[in-house]
Amino acid sequence: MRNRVFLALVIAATLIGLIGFLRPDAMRTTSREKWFWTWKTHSKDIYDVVVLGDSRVYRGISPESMRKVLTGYRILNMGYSSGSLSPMMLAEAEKRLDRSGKRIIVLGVTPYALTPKAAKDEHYLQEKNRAAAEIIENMYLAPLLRHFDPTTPVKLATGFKRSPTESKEEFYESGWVATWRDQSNPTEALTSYEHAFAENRVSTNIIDNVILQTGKWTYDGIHVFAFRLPATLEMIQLENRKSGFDEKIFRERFEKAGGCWITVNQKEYRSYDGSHMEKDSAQSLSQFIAQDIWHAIGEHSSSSMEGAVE
Amino acid sequence: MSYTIDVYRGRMKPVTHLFHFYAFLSMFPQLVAGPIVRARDLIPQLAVCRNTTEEERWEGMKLIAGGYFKKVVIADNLAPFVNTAFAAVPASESSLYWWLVISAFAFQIFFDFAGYSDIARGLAKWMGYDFLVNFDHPYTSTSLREFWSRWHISLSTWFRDYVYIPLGGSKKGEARGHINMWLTMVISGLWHGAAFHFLAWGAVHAFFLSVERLTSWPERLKHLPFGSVFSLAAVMFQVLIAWVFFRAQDLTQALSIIGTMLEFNGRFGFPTTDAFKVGVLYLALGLAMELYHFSKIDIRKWFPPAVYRSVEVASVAVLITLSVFLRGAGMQFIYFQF
Repeated sequence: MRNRVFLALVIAATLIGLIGFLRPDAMRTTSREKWFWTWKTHSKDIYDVVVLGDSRVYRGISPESMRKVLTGYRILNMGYSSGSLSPMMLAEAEKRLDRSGKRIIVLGVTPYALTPKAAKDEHYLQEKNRAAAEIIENMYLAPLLRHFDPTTPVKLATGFKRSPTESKEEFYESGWVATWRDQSNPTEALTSYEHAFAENRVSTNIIDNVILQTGKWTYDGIHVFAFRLPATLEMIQLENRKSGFDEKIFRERFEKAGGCWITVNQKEYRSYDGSHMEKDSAQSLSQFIAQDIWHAIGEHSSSSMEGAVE
Repeated sequence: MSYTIDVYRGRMKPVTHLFHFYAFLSMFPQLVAGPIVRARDLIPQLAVCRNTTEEERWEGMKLIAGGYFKKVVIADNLAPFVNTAFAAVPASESSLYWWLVISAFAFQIFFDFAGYSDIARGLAKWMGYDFLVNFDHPYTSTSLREFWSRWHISLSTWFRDYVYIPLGGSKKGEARGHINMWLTMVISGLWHGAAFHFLAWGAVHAFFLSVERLTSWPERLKHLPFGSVFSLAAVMFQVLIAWVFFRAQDLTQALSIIGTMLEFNGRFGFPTTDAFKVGVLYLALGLAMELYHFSKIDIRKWFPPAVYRSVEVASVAVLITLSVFLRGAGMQFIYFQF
C-alpha cells in the first residue's frame, strides 16, 4: 500500500457512489426542500397572482388547483412559517407581481399572521438573507446533489417507514407544500397556539397597515382578496378568544378599503393537526378561492363596462 | 500578540524575512479559530522548505477525515436537539431532560471544536507543518486541573503563559495564587464574549478549581475503589454545570436550567422528537468514543501491522462516507463567533 490517501479516497468515492445511487428515494428530500425555499424566495419570476401568509397558506393553497379555474394564470404561493402580513411582506408580495399581468394579491388571514411576533418574519428573512454562495448551491446544485442527501440513524432504524402521525410532504415549484398524514390529530396544535398568543396579541398597527395598503393597491388597480384560513372549530374558537382578532371588524374595514373578502365554510375542510390542511382539502379550498376570484374579477369587469355604457 | 510579547520579552528573535512573518500571519488552517499557534513554534518551521512524506500525508488525511466526522456528523447532529431545548418556550421542567441537553451541548462544542482543530492540523500536515494537539480527550479527565490541561490546550496555555504567570502564578502565596487563577479564568470567560453568562462560566470554573486546590479531592478519591470513575463523574458534573452558563442566552435562563437540573425530579414531560432521538444517539456515540479512550483499549494490538494498515484505510474511507450520508444540518463552527 504505497499511497493510502489515494486508496482511501477511491474506496470512499465508490461507497458514496453506490449508496447514493442505490438507496431508496425516500431518503432524498433535503435537497428538494432547500431548493424549494430558496427558489420561492429568490426566483426572479413574476406572477399574475400572489398568495401571501403563513404556514397555513403554504400548506393550504395549491396554485396548481387554482390554475384549473384561473387558466393560464401564473400563481405564486408566498407563505412562510410563522409568516406575517407585515408591511415588509406586503411590499415583497407586490414586487412579485407582473406589472403588465392580472395583478391580484390574495391575503391568507390568520390571527397569528397579524401579531408582532409573526411580523419578525424570521423564516422569510432567514431565506432572504442567505449568502450568495448558498443561494447558488440551493438553487442549482441541490437538485444535482439529491443522491447525496443526508439521513439519520433514526430513519435508518425505522427503515424509512414513517410513523402514521408523521407528516408527508411534497414540494411544488409554485410554493405549495402538499401535506398529509395517515393518522391525523386535530387537537395537536392547540397547546402551542395557547402559548402563541401569550403576550403576543393581534397588532392594531399591522391591521391598520393591511387596510391602508389594500386601499392603495385598489387605487392602483391591483385586485386584493382576503380570506381566513380554515382550521378546526376548536382552533378558530381558541384564536377568537385569545388573539384579539375580530374577523367581522377586519372584514368590514377590508371591504371598505376596496378589498374583496372571500367567506370560507370552515367545516368543509379537514386539518391533520388542527391548524394545517390536508392535501385534498388544500386542493378543494384552492379551487374555491380561485372560483371566487374569477367571479369577482368578472363582476369588476362588468361594472366597469356598465360604467362605460353610462 | 504572542509574537509581539515574545519578541519584547526576548524569548524569540524578530523575524528578518518579511515573507516568513506574513506566512505565519496568513497560515490559513489556524487563521479563523485556532489552534492558536505561537510565533516561536511556527516561524522556525516556515523558514525551512518542506517536502511531505506519504506517512505525513496519511496522518493528515486521518486527521481531516476524523475531524470532518466529529464536526459534521456528531456536532451538527447534536445541534438541533440542543438549540430546540434552549429556544423552547416554556422550557421543560424535567431534570433528566436538561442533564441530557447539557451533556449533548458538552459533546457538541467538544466535537465541533476538536473537529475543527483536527482538520486544521491535518491541512497543516499536508503542507509539512506540525500544529500541537488542541484537545486531548478532556472529558476523560479525573480532575478539573487535568481538564484544563486537555481542553483547548492552545488557548489554556496561552492564558497560562501570558496572563496567569505574568500575574505571579502560584509563586506569591496560596491566596494570591487563587486570585490570579480567578482573574485568569474570568478573563478567559470574557474572551468568549462581553456578557455576564460568559463571565459566570469563567467564575464557576475558578470556583471549582479553588475548591479542588483547597480540598485536593481528586487525590483523595484516587485511593478509593473505582476512585478514577468517581473522579471522572465529579469532573463531568462540574464541567456540565459550567457549560450551562456558557450556552444559555442569559444569566436568568442559566440559573433556571441549573435549578431544574439540581432538583433531580422525576418528571419525564419532554418532547421525544426526531431531533431528540438523533441527539441522544449521537450523545451516546460521543460518550462511547471518549469512554473507549478512557478504557485505554488499543485495537492496534488486535491486528498484525500489515492488516492494521488496511483496516486504517478502510476506516478512513468509511468515515468519509459516513460524513457524507450522516451529516447534520450544516452549522457554522461554534468558535467562529468568538
